[in-house]
Amino acid sequence: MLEVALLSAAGCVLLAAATHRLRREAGADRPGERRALRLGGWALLLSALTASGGGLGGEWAVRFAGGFSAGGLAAVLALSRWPATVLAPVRWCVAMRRGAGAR
Amino acid sequence: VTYPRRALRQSMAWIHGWLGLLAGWILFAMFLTGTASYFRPEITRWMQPELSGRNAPPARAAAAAARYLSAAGKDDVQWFVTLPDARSPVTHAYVQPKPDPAAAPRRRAPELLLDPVTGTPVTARDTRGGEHFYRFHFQLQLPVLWGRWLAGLCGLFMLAAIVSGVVTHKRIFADFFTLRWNKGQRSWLDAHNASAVLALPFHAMITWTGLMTLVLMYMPWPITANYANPTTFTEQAYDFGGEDAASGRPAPLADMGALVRDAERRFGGPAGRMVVRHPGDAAATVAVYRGAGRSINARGPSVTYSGVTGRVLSQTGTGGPALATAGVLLGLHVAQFADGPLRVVFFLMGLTGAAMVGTGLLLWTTARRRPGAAPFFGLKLVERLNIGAVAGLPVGMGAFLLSNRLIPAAAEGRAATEVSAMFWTWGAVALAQLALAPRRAWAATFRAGALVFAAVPVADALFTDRGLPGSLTHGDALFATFDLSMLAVAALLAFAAARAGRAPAPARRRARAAELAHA
Repeated sequence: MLEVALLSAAGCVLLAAATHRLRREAGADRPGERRALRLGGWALLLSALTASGGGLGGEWAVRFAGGFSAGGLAAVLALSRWPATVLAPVRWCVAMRRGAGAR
Repeated sequence: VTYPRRALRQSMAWIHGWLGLLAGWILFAMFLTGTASYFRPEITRWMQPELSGRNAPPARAAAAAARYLSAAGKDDVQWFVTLPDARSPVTHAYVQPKPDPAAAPRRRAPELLLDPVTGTPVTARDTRGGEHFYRFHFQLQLPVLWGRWLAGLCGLFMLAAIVSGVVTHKRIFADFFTLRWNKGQRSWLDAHNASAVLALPFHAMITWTGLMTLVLMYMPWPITANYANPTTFTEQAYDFGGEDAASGRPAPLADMGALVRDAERRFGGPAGRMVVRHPGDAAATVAVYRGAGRSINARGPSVTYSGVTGRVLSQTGTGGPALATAGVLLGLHVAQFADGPLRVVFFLMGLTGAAMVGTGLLLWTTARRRPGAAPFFGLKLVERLNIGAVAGLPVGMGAFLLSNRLIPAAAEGRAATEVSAMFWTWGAVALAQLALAPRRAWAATFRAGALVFAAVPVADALFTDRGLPGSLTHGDALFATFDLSMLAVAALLAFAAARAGRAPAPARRRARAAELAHA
């Protein structure tokens, strides 16, 4: 359950980093970077969905909805308070990618 | 007469605002007490500290209970036995004795608590425990039918508010990750949106399934149209069995432990309860029902045995598609299938529901307050009701828990006194806040809640031999977690009191101000 919430929170952070409001804090000014962030966000949410798979019929949906809501709320609360800190890893990854691209 | 056409979004905003306001206070109470009910057995266990935590498998507990009940009342009509599980370590038994025509009619016999190992009655303080919050969240402490109808009406308003809220929210995806602090009305709207949108699947599910659990009461017509006697439907649908008479020939009961073990083998999981009809009679039957936790469907299969020979008389599955659907909807609502972490998530989602309703109520007043202008009567009324409900209810809930430790364990009628303590405290707080200006009233009421919740672990340590330090030392996870949770709630309410007491930041009105309010 915890991994579903964590993967969902990470996915939400990447999706949030690609939004107009937070892209500056994420250092993702270029459209290609924002596309990559969105792709990464959806991929994490997809892995959260995969991690929700349980033995009981239908419980995976409950687990995913619950984990996504909990993770999403945590991400929103953290982003509202410390956007620069939360998005620091994203900023770092974007900078690394740019550096690699420049070389 | 022609009326100006309103845009769909405007109409929905109007509906959302007024439905939310009219049902808001009751919905807040339903969400908060319903959320607490996710830990109903745990609350009850904490409220009966005399009970030991020793557990036994259902089969052993069934055999022990049958031994005691047979000796105590061989000619009883029926025994309803709820078997112990990991969350509730004692056996609960309701006995329906043989009616005595000469005796005066009496109230339903009280519940017996039996030791799962020996089957003998165990004594613990009389309390409604977590059951009180559970019952309150859909009966609202009113006469049963009135309470359930009112809860259903509010649930219907909630469903309409959810749909209209989604239509109203113009920038639902753009605002998905937006929560701005210290910006007055805008912050309340952000908090309302964040708690509503991110947990939207939960809110929609819990509202819909809540309505569906009582749908046969709200819409009985399909049954009345198809069955001359509605109880026939209940008997057929839920396998309650007919009213077979006793034979009058005495016969000893079969080994209950063996029957429960056989049923568990058929279910592939633990048994949850059993119903023994005509114990000690040659026509005795034993119905064993599957316990919660094996499936989302709350209505599990059952096996009925002859109570004398142990022969299988009938076996039911989960019913047809309609019954299975109803069972799944009920299961989703009560979440008995959920293991610990998932139950915690359900609990957190329930809290976001309460936060959504609470912030919505606050938004209604914030959107209508004008700087420098005297508040109109409706605004003052709603504000006071908001304080009484949003800040006052937690004080009452804390008083209910605190009274469990303050009222002597052997006091007569203590269960009812605990419930009265909750409502008297809630009422007193709701009245007392009228003496203060709104901002001070918010802060003072939250502060009162913080004090009450902080007092719970203190009283636990003073009046029982458990207490937080002892629970931590002995590794009693349930009692330690409960006391720590009380301290966490106290800290949360103290934080709310500190925030509520602060003067608001000067609001900057913008052209989009009208868009910010839902109504």
